[in-house]
Amino acid sequence: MTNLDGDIEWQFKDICAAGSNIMEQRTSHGVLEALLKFAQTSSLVDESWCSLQLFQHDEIPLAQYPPHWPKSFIKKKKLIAVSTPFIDDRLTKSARKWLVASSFKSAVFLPIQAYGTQFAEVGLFSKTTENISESTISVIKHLTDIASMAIARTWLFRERLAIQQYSQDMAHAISADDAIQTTLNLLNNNLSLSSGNIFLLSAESTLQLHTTSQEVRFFQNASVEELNFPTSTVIITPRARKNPLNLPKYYSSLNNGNTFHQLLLLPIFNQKTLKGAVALEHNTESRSFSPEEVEFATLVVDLLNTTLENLSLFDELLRRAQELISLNQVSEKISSTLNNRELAEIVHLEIQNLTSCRVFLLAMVETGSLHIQPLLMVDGMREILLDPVPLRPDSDFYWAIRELETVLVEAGDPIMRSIWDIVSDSTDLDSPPINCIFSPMAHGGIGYGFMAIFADDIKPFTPDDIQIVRAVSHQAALGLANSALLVAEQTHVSELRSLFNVTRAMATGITSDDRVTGMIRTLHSSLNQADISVFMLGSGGALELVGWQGDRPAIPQEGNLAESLIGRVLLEKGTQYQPNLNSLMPSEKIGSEGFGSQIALPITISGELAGILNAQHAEVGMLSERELRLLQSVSVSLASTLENGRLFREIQEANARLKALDELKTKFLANMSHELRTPLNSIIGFSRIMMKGMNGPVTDEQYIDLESIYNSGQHLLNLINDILDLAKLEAGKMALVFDEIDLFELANSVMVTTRGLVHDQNVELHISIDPLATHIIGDKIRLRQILLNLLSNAAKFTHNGSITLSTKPSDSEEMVLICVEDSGAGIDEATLPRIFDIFEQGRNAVYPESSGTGLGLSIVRELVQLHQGKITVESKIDEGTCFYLHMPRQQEGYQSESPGSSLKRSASGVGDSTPEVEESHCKQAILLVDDDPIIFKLYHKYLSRMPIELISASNGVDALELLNDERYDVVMIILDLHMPEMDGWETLKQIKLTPGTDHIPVIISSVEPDRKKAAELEIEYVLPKPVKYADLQKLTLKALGQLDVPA
Amino acid sequence: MQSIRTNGSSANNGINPEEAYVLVVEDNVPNFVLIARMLAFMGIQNCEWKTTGWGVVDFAQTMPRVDLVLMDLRLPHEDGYEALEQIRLDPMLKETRVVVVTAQASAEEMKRARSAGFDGFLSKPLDPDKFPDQIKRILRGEEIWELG
Repeated sequence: MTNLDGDIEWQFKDICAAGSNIMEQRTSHGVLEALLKFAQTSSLVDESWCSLQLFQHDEIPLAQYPPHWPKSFIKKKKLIAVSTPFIDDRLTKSARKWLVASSFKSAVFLPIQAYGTQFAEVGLFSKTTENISESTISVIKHLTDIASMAIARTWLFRERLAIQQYSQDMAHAISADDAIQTTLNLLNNNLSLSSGNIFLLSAESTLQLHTTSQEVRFFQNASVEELNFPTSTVIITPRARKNPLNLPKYYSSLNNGNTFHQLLLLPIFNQKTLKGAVALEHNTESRSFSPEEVEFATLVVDLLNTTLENLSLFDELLRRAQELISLNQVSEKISSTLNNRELAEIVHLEIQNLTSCRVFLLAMVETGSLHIQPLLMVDGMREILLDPVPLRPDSDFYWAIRELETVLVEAGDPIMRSIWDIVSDSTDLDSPPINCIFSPMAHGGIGYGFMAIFADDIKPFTPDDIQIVRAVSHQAALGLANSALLVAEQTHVSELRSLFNVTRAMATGITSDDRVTGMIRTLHSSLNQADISVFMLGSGGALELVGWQGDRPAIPQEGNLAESLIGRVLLEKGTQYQPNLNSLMPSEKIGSEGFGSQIALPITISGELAGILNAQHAEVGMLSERELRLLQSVSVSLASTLENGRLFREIQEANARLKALDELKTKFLANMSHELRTPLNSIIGFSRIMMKGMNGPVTDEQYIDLESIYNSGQHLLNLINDILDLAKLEAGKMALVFDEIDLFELANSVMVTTRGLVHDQNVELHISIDPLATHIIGDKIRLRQILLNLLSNAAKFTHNGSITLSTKPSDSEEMVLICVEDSGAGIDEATLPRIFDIFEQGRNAVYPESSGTGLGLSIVRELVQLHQGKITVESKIDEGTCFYLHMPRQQEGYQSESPGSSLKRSASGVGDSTPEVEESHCKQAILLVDDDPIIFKLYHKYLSRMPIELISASNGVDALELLNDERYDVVMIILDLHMPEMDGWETLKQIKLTPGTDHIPVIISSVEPDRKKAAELEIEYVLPKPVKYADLQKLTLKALGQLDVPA
Repeated sequence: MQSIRTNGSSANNGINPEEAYVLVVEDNVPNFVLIARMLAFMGIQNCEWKTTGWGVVDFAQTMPRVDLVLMDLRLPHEDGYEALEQIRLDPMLKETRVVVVTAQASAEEMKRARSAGFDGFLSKPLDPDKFPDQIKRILRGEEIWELG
């Protein structure tokens, strides 16, 4: 004991720090250790000691400190100070002994209390002084007070932890038993009970008793009133035991006479209903329930209440979930079955599982026949077969099935009466039940059926039962609807399939007869091998058998029509449908003997009865509504097939007639041409030979007359040609052969002809080919005809002036403009629009000498249009006329091909592959045979404007080789006589001797041409050198003209 | 329109009209007379006449030779095509040129005649201005195919 009073300030700090340290401790151990540590380090005493008295905590005890020390020094929970010789009866015996033996001179003991309970005691020992100073004691006293508080606090903290843990446990509790047991454990551990019990009254009025020893006891038929549970927390003391009102009856009987010191009773409520009690007991006087303990217990029991409530809710939920799962399974079963009977069985089983059910009836409504068709009727365990019951559509019951929800129907209700009517004869029940569940099964506005359930025995149904039945019945309704839809669908599909087969049979027939036969055959197989017959109404009104399939054809009854089905079809012009022929009198079914069902339908074409489709089957009912529908569909198709067949035949006949007519027309045209040409041959021929003086000289007058005959003959010939062309065009028999046309070549060629027409006139001819309009695709012969026609017109009306043939690119890139322009008489405005009309000759009146046929321009227009072109005209009287041909550059279907194949096109089958034809489409060329290159250049220049190629050879050998070259069609040879290798004459001889070249005109070009020698070799043209352009051009044109136009 | 094809094989044996033997198969009397007149005018002295295609070969064999047959197409008993077939079957007549002279003056007919194997085609009405020249050229070996 050194200087306790010495350094006050330090001590004060020291004590404060110790107090803080103690307060900071979280466990009672910590608190005590902190306290002892202070005592020792502060050197207040020689030894200090602390003992925990564990009576209500499961905390590991602080072992005696040091271990061999007494467990307890003091008897009373009060501070005592003792000194040697330690004769104080407040000390325990062992303490006194120990103190003496330990040679301490003095000691002070202080209790640490929490919640009125001694928790621990602290001892301070001194070996030096007999009196521990007051100040030391007061410091320790202060610190032990702090420790008391700290321990109380750690206890509270533990409590809180315990409650937290408990709440968690409660939250995880899955059953009331579980929750109750956990609660008991908690209370027992925290309140150091001598015993704890929980009473709980279950729904079945059974009292359950749970004890701390994890025992559960049951007491039957207990009621809350009898049990006298407390409604609030009460503490019963032994004194109160004497009061029977305060002590629950059940308790005394349980306790086996054990006495208790204190009994804490707490009520258990579930959904605000008293359901039981928690009873906590101390049976030693040393223990009593502190207010804090009571509070703790109350808190715990509150939690228990909540938990039990939750658990019961959970149980309810679980029950419902299981119900739902079960219902779901039912609905799965129901929706997976399409068999109504099976469905009824499932529904029955389910209803039995869910509610008590005595009589079960599930029936379908057959909407077609309006019957109630019982699917399943069970009375108890016995299944009863019920006959179908008619259902009146105006009845309440009919309405109820369609419109009502699942309802509880009381006895006396009309619905109950209806149900009773159905089942009363079959059930063992004597009278209708008190109530029954009536559950219509409707879906989408259609009542498919209903379910009626009578409860087992006398127990009426509850609203819960209705819910269950409603759910099941809803599923059943869906099931029935599905199966009804499926049946409808199957029927529909089978009908469609039959119809498809029949239609296909009809469609695949080529002739109308084939189709009808195919249809009859397919109907026969689609209609259960029914006999099928088709009759057509003949012109005399009698039925003629068109076709049949089966055992025998139907007999169309003659005589009284009303006596047979077929007859009645004729009479009433409507379908006769008889699924049961047995229901008819023999006099009503003449001709149908031996058959069970028959359908006879009219075949109506354009609203008129045209025939009968009859189906009859040996068995009753084999031809019913399904078959009727099929036959109705077929009879419509059949009518159109027959009608189509008739129309087709008519069209075929008409076509044949037209074709014959067409052939006749063609033949007629050819004949006419022949027959007209034959006499013309004589007219033109004889007049001409007389004019030519072949029959001797003719006088001028005779010549003039002969000329008239000849000209008229020619005119007639032109007319014939034009008429034939026009007839061909109009008949669409003019086929064009397309080829690439060189417009320059064509223009030159037609101008040569035109020149002949105007040779005695003062007319200049011009050709102007635009570089952008040199070629088109078209029929060469016809375009030539077009141009010659226009040019001869121009020549006819132009006696003074010019005629120009020109080409221009059109506004459209795809077109070319070809113009034939003259400066002639012109056409007056009134005539201009009509000049393309047949026999319209604009200028006949003015120029009576014109010999046109009046058909030329019509033909021209047709030919141009055949080329997809257009012809327009501009004209002014006395100024001239211009025809514009708008011709496409390209023709549909024409492809620019290799020269070889394009030749074949134009040859169009005339010796397609003969070499001659190919030859004619080689490049036309003039062969120049001259060794002087200057001459070649000169000729090249001269001929550059001609539509012809110039090829050259410098000697005779090369010349002959070029003549054999397949690429060139040499139309003229210009030959120099003085050449190396082979001279001109030798070359000429070779040319004239070689087949294929002997016909080629040869122009001898020489400085000194030997005309005599030339004549010997049939050389027609001789050009003296130097060659003049005009001469060359003339000769060239002549040579070309001889080839291209009639001489 | 007129086009000329060369019959190469007969190029060098051109026949003088004076020496030529010509058979005209024609059922129309005036037409035969016209042809005969024109042939005579151009100097052909040997000209025979037959009015049907039937028996043409037999008739031809009675002639010393036949250089040219002018054949109408529409003929009684046997038409021009049938007659041509018979002619072509006779080796004696293999040098004979058979040329159509017809009033069936159409491109189709000409095409048909060409593929049947005729050597030329002249259409009626014949043009007396051109006819002698045409015959001359035919006798020279040219092929003449002409639509009037």
